[in-house]
Amino acid sequence: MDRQGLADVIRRAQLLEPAALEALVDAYSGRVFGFVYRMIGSRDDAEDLVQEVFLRVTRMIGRYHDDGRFESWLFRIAANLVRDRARRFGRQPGRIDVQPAENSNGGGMDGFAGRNEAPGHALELGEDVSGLSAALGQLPAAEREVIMMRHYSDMSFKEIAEIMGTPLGTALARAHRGLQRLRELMTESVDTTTKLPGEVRS
Amino acid sequence: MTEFERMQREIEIEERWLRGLGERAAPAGLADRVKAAVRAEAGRIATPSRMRQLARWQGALAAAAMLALCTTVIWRGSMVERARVERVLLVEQFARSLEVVDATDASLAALGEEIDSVCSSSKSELDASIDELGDSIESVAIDSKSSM
Repeated sequence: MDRQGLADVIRRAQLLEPAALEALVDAYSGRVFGFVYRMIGSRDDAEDLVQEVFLRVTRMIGRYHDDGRFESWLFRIAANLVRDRARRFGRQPGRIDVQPAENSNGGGMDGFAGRNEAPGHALELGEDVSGLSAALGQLPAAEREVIMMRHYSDMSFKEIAEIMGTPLGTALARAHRGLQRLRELMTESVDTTTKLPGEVRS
Repeated sequence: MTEFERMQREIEIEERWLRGLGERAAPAGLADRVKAAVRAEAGRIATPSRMRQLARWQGALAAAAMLALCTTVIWRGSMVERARVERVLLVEQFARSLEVVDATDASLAALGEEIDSVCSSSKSELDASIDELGDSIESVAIDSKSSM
């Protein structure tokens, strides 16, 4: 959707035209889902939150002033909902302990690993944990948020810093630190999974 | 290269690596479920929204009605003023008519007196003429008798 097309869709969505609201869902639900899912680690909860994001968009779009930063506005709503959810649960969003997939579907390091239903399990928020999700789960929430906003939206670090209420330098530093840590974790994960049973890491 | 630029460069490299890991698509049917929820929500808030739109129109209509009322009052006010002026003119005309009537009455009275005087003078003159005529007739008759 080009800028002019998006502006037109937003204008019509502000009049609560169902077709325009649905066009926004088509354009953004995938990326919003990716962001939310990576932040909280649970697919079912992510689906619920995506729905809540778009319900809020529907309720609030009449007050949105189209300054060409719709995506920033949308992801701000998503980020706020993720934080609200974390507050409700009394813990950091998506602090996920890495658990081996019991029922891995073989979808690679980014695949969903099936359900881990054990009550009182070390998984705090996530259910579908593997590969990248697990590695992301080990990052501090603030670092994960910057990385995922960059990954799923077209926002600049300046916009992300505004959303997070931090200086630009802090946002950059978090992204830098988080991405490096993420790559380390992923490399460790690959090393672990490729080693034969009983093999000792040097 | 500054520290800031180095950091940005490294971030770009790591972001490219992250993108290369591939992306998990949203669950099938999620968009449809979200659309249905959004449609229902839009329908739910559209009714009050329409009411608000109607209220906005009602405001405009009320303003128009107020404007019409003001115009009517002003117009009526000007009409009353015009009627008042017309009433004053009418009274003035009536007063002028009375003066004319008075003047006419005086003229008529003078005319009546004149007629009366003319009538009375003509009558006395006629009486005298008739007397004279009677005298003449009598003298003529006496003369005729004496000549016979």
